[in-house]
Amino acid sequence: MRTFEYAIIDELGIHARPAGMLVKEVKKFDSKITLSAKGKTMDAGKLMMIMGMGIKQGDVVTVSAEGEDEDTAIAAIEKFFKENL
Amino acid sequence: MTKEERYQASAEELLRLVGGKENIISAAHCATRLRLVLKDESKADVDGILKVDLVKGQFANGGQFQIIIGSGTVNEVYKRFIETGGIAEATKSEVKQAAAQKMNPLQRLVKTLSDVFVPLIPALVASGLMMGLNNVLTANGLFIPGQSLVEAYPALSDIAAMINTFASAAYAFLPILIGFSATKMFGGNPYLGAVIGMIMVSGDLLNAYAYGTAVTEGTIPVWNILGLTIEKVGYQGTVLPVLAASYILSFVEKKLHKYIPEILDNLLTPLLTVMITGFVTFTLVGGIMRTAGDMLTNSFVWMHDTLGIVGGMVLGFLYSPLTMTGMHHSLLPVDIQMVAAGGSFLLAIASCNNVAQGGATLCAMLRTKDKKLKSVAATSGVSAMLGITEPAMFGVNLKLKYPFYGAMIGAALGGGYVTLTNVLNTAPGTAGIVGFVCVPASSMLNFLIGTAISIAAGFIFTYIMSNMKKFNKELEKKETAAEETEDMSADIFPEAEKGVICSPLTGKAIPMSEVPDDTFAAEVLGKGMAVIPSEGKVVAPCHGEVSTLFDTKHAIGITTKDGVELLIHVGVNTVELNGKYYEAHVAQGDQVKPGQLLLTFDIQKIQEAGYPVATPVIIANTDDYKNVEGLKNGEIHCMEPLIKLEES
Repeated sequence: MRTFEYAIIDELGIHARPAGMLVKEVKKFDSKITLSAKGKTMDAGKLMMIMGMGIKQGDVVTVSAEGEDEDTAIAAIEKFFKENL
Repeated sequence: MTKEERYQASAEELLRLVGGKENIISAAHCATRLRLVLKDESKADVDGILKVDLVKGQFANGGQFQIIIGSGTVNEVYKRFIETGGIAEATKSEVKQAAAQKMNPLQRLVKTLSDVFVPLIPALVASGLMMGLNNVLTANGLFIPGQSLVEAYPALSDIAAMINTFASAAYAFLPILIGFSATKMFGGNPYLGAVIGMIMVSGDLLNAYAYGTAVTEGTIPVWNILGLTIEKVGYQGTVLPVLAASYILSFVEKKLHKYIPEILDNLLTPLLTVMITGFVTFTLVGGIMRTAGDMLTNSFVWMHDTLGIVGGMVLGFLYSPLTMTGMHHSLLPVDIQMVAAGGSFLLAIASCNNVAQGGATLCAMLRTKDKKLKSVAATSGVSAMLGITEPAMFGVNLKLKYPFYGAMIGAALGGGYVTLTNVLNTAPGTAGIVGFVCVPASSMLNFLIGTAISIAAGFIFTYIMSNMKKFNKELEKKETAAEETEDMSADIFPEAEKGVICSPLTGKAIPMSEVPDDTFAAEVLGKGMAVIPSEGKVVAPCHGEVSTLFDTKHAIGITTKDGVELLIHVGVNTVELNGKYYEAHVAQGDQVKPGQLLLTFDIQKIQEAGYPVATPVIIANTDDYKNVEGLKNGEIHCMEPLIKLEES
């Protein structure tokens, strides 16, 4: 299993658009990818779950990936976070 | 650990970690989460909670402290959580009390009585109908001149006797049932309430039914305690004294819980509660209630004897409110005494009252829109005709109010008639249609005419009032709902067929590709349709749960009961408005009904601020479906079909 932590910089947090893009990114991979923040852990491939977490600027999220392509997945998603959030 | 042990262990740990049951105002659960309202959220140990075996997550939102446990597991944990904490019952009553504080004292009294009696309805109905059956079997001259059925067919007599025993038990021991139910209502321990009820009908006491005779003969047994003389008399078939006792019990118990150290709580609280309540009941409450009963009786007799037909009408009119408070039970000894003296007028008037309640209830059955109430009304209406009014009165008539007024008028008219024709009963009996078996043959016809008048009048006046907005609140509700979308409910919007999502907005439906935003247009968030709203309102298109509601109130996610994850995103880039021009009418986690108002927003202001108001209605879990397609382009009214889903 691979994980990384990231503190959200984007002032609007993970709202609908970034959540949708994140889910799109996550779905490229076969690994089981989860997003944890504020004591909740959710399947990162579920748009409603991600939005329901209400992640805002300053919140620290932990992303973990487990599966065949976990290395590429975690790298791509970390890149996504850095570029978009 | 077995599954059960894990549930139990998690429940116990959680109870401790949220600050114990004292810190819990209410506890509920949804499909995946334990939803608590805590007095002080800071007392909860969040880190500890996250470490609990079955807990998957935790967060606090809108006053609710939610613990994510997962579907299929959460209900098991919840069950043990409330059992272990002894929470549910007290909590419910607290919630009820909170709601009750908004009502006026009379409404509160009625609400209390209704809450106490409604759970008892099955017991009272069963007993009442058996009582009627027994009457039919034992009434003189009902089928065979000069003889009752049991006299003509002695083989039936033991059956009648057995039925009689079955029938009378619940009434004789009524204080036990009421003690349980009322104490539960008042927030005390219902089992202690039952104990108080048992004490009040204990076999050691003089039976209340024998009290009248004992008074005249001067043979009332007493306890002498420290110079106090306390009457050793039971409370069989009474309502008011045990209601008062239950209230005292709950009060005393709650106070004791507070002051007795925890280590002694289990031991001392029940003991002291029962002793104090019992003592107060027999010394004070009993006396007051009996005096109230006596005063009532005397005024009844005076009214009948001096006022004639007017008195009969007044008695009939007031009989229902008396039954409501349970004080009519104190008339029974009077009735018996008058019967012994030659004849009593009470049975005929009580019968008119009961059947009038029944007539009103049956009318309410036809008039109410509430399906559950309809079915309650059908059975309770019939049982009221046979003499058991509590279910009809508390379950239906007082709830809707207007049938109760209708019944009072019906009872007054019938009461006037039987008083005018001087129908006297020569035996105590069940007040209802079958009550005619207790009057002399010469009065039977008049008795039946009186009850017929009452049924008809109860029915007719209820019908008339059901058409008047002043009395029938259901009419009012329907009108407001038609005027404002706020109150639109499932009754007005039938559930759309499965796989069809209705439009949450009124305006113009457009394909997603025409939304002026690449992310939405490319269906990155999912497929769906968009609506350019002409009204600033978003309503729930179907039953579901609000799974997402941003602080910015510009987007709301509904997970429908069929599992469709619907995202309604009002406007494009409107997250930047930070909630300005938007208002939410629900909170995350709320259950919503079709047509329920979710959000309102100011179209003009949003446009002025430079944002398009096009509102994508997105199926967020598009991948779960084989096909998602729009059903309509152009003008659309909210709740018109918008999107069709094809299951894969």
